[in-house]
Amino acid sequence: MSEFIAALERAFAPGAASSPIGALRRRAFETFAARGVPSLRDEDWKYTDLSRVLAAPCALSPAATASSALPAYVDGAARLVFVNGVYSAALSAAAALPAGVTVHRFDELATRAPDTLAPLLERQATGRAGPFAALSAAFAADGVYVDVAADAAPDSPLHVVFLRTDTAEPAFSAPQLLVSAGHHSRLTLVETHAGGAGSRVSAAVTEIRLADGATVDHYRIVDEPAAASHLGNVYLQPGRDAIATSWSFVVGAGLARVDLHAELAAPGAAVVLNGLFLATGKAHVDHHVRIDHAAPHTTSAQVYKGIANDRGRGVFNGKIVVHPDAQKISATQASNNLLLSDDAEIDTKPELEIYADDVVCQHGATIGRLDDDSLFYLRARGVPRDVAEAMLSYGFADEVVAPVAVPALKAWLEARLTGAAIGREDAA
Amino acid sequence: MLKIENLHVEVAGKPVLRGIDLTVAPGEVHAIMGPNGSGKSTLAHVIAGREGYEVTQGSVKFNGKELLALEPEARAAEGVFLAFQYPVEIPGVNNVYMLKAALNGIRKYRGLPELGAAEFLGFIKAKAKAVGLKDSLLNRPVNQGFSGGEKKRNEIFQMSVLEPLLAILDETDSGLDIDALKAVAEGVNLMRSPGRSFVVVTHYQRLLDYIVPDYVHVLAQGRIVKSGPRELALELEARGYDWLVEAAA
Repeated sequence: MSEFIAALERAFAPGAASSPIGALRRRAFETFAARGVPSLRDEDWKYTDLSRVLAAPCALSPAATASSALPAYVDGAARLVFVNGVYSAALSAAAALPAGVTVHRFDELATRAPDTLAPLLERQATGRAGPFAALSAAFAADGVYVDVAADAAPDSPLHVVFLRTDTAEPAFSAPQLLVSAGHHSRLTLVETHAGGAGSRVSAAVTEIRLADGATVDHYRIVDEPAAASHLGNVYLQPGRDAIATSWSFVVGAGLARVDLHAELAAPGAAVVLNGLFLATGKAHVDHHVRIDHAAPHTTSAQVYKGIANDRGRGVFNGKIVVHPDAQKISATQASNNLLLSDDAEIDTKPELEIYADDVVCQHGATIGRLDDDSLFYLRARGVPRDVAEAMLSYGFADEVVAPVAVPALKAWLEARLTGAAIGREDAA
Repeated sequence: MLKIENLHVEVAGKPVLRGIDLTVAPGEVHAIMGPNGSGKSTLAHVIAGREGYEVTQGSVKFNGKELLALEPEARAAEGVFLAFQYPVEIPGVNNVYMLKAALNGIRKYRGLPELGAAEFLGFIKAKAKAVGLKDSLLNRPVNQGFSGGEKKRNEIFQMSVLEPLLAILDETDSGLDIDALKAVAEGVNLMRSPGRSFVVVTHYQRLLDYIVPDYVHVLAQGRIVKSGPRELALELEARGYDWLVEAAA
């Protein structure tokens, strides 16, 4: 057993084995420990080497109240903030929750309604969602379950922010965000993983279940320091005629792996998955998408864009499975990537398994460099080379950023992508 | 202002310019004419600093400074502007934003403070009006979805914002109808001043009806084979290029 697992096992305090949640946590940890840390020999992990980042023992993140500043785009917004996995009433603005939105924190549920928490984590504990979802379920202490009432349509977004404090020792945490959107409800959700410096590992799980006719727009931002490893797991399950849109923006982290799984098991269910990553320095960013079209008339559309600079490395693996009898489905996938340096690398791989015959499936992948003509055009106007490169990279990313419907987040992304050097200000 | 001496340029090992000498004094307008493939656009691009050209001999001095040693953005900051024959479309980057980055890049190079957003916006709106560029195009991505005429007008607009000392117009007339051509020429003429020079690269005489040059040079097979006053352009219009090309061969 690796030092990483052994140290977590020593820190493991699942609670009474006789309680449903205690039993579930034990089962989840066993699932993870039996599976172990994936190696490059695992097909799903062949481009992402965890042996270095998950070699050292990790302590559980210390409880903390103070934290680095919240990202600018959550200013004034309804928000739940967790610091090192623990809910922070001081940083949260829970009084301003949108109408129709109820939040339940795991530690509350564990005492108030212990029988309800375990079923929420069942999928993760089985290992079906991968080893790190099981690990996350085992250690999830103070996650959040968001319930949106039927027909509720709050007009402002809900932010859930998972912050980490600076830590001297490598620290582990297990952020959890579970959402249930009632029928014909509509929710905009912004999930952020960010915080101060220090080595750390996060095993984060997001599950969004949509009842019939519901719409959820989910923005997920990973903006962690270079010493952080982020292992994210996103699960989307839209009901009949429900639409789940999920953006994954990874703009920071030494290693980030985001697994997204959408199960389209009801007719008319749709997912739109967009992603953008920036791998600079020695960052490694891996998106693994799996979409199961398990019912007819389901739709999926993916656009993932990657930018790798310096010695950055990007991976995109997009699997689409069309099950037998899932006729009249439409699945599209685009993976477009930009290499900004000779040492950067991007691997992109579509995987299509189609067992139905009346379907529309399209996929395309590109890996390119900045266009010389465009670069010369800007430089000939007097734009310095580094600024011109940032502008063109931004232009490349724009397809994914432009539709972001939370203005403060969009402005933050634009500034982040173009770099402070440019000093972009909206001219209009 | 501009002094080109014995400029030899190769592209992929093939000589394209074979000994160009050209001197442009402040306030002058020089037209460079010549058949397709004569090296006109190469000359324009080499002055502006495009990569992919190998200068094997010669020098290009701008106000005494060797341009060939400078990056393209430094040449722009020294006061050189190239209006492109085919302006590039840049998705996701709006015109105003690009110009602000350009102007502030140039100002920084010259040791001037950067312009603030409000100040800049007022400045470019006035310029857009002067060259007849629609306000709605200002905040569109650079050249994206612009008509041919709008793209060329945008080049002239950018030139008017950047206020270069030397503007090189590379076949700015190509693809324009007569109204668009007149409008573009008018924008250029508004900018003529005793301190500003123009090098107008064109295949056709008609642009020179509206931007009247002080000198006309004919480029053929990488050399200037004839130079003369404005009337030379009219002669070329009447006689074509063949007589000069044959004489040069």
